[in-house]
Amino acid sequence: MRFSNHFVRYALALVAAGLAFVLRIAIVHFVGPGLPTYITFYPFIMFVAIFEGLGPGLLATMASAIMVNYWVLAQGIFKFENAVDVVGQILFLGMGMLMSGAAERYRRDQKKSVEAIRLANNYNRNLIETSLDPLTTISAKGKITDVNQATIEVTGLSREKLIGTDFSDYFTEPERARQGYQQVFDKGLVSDYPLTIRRKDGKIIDVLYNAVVYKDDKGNVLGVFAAARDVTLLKKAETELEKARRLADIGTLAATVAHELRNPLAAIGLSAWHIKKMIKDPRIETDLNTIGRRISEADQIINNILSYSKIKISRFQVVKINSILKECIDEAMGRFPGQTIAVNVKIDRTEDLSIEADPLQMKEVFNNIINNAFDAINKNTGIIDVESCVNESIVSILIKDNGEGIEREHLKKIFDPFFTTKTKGTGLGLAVCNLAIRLHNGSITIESDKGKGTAVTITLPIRRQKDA
Amino acid sequence: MHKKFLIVDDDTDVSNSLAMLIREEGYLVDNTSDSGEGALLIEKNRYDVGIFDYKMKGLSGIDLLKMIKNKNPRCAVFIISGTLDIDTLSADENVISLAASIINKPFDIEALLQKMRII
Repeated sequence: MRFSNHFVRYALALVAAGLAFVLRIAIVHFVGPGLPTYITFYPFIMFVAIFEGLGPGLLATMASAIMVNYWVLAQGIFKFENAVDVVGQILFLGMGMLMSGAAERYRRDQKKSVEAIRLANNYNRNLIETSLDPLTTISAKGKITDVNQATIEVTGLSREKLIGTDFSDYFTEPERARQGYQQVFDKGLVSDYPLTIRRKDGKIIDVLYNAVVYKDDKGNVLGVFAAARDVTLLKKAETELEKARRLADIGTLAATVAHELRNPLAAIGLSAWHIKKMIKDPRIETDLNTIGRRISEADQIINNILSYSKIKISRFQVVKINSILKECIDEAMGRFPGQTIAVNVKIDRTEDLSIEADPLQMKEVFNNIINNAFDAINKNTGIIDVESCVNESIVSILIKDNGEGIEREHLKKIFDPFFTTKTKGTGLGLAVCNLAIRLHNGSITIESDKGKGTAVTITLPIRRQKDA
Repeated sequence: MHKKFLIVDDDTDVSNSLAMLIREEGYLVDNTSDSGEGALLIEKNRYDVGIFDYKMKGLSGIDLLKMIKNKNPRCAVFIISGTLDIDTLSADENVISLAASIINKPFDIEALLQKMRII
């Protein structure tokens, strides 16, 4: 109603005064004389002041006074016949100004209130929209009445599509969602209620819901206000923890079993050796040798298991890492005779590179990886590339084979203790490597293409890291 | 050649078999699978070599080591270890240095006999 164009506002003031005057004439004409002089003008002045402001109100007052002056008192402008008229006019002007002032004040208060409400609304709405948690209001009939931006994102649907729909449609277990909703009404609230949201693109998100009923001033329940909390990461951490616990249990069990096996093996070994000594019979010599050999092998398996569960610290020394590497290669070639596997060794200028590391653990690591490379090449010819180079303060060692490779799903589990795809072996080789390298603050990564080959890259800091 | 051995291992077969092997090499051997009895034997007799299992019920191999060394400091003592590393044994560090050697189970019998011969 308030026009922004000042001309219009003030013109309206004049028009209002004019209308007031016309009204006066009409009443006097149709009803009769004796109408108080200024009475029709007051409502119009009030109207103008409230809707158009103080200025127009005052102008309407002035215009009205002039019109009364000229036509009603019939004296001309500012011509008065008697003192009463003067006083009357002065009082009218005063009233007009007061009314305009009061109206203006009222108008301004109104404006302030409206503005305050607007700011409060903005503030509240901003908070709701900014919230990272999906917030939703749900009517007493279970239909969504309002959502915030986070809800839009977590469902993958627009505000328009969501509002009015059944809230339970968006969960993987709608019945459970409804039960939770019922609980809110029954108990007034529900907290940490687990549900799973299904996004439009099919992705599922685990959440915990906190929901309350919300009421109007009179205490009537208007609906449910629900806030979801994304617990995907939390659940993932719990799964990892559970897995770690299980592995730790298996590790302890394995170590105990391994340890206990030593006595029986020792007794068997002693007896077999004794038999061989007592009975020199070529017919049983092979068998007795076999017994001896396999006891050693069993012992080695036990050692593997125990060394995995015992790797806790590294004993750092200054070692020539490339020498250890070459030693392991030579030993491996001895273990796998009769196969034409070409091992290409490429060590950059730093042949004599010394690093701070635990020599036994490094030997263990290289042995395991080189053995794996040989095992992978089950055809008779194959190529293993071994490279070692230095980059600033890190030495990188690559061992690559063109063997059978590793399946993609297996790569994820490759460092898990007791994980193996081989029919023989404890599955601890890479787990031990992983542990040992981590104790050195290094890294080990494995890339593989099933059928094409595998590449293992190990990086080690040259100097021992402070927290290693 | 008439060295006197004491073997204490709580696995009966191991204790008996090991004792028999060493007897057949020509030595005098007492053996038991009870560490309490081992302690009594140490008290009663004089031994040149002791072979004790590290972990046993009752007194441990280290306890027996201390006892026998107390009585005869020149006695050569071997500790049989079923554990891979020496870390656990290093807890008794001063004591470990008293032992002549650590032997792993299961045994490398040739090497073991070799050690016995050169004491």
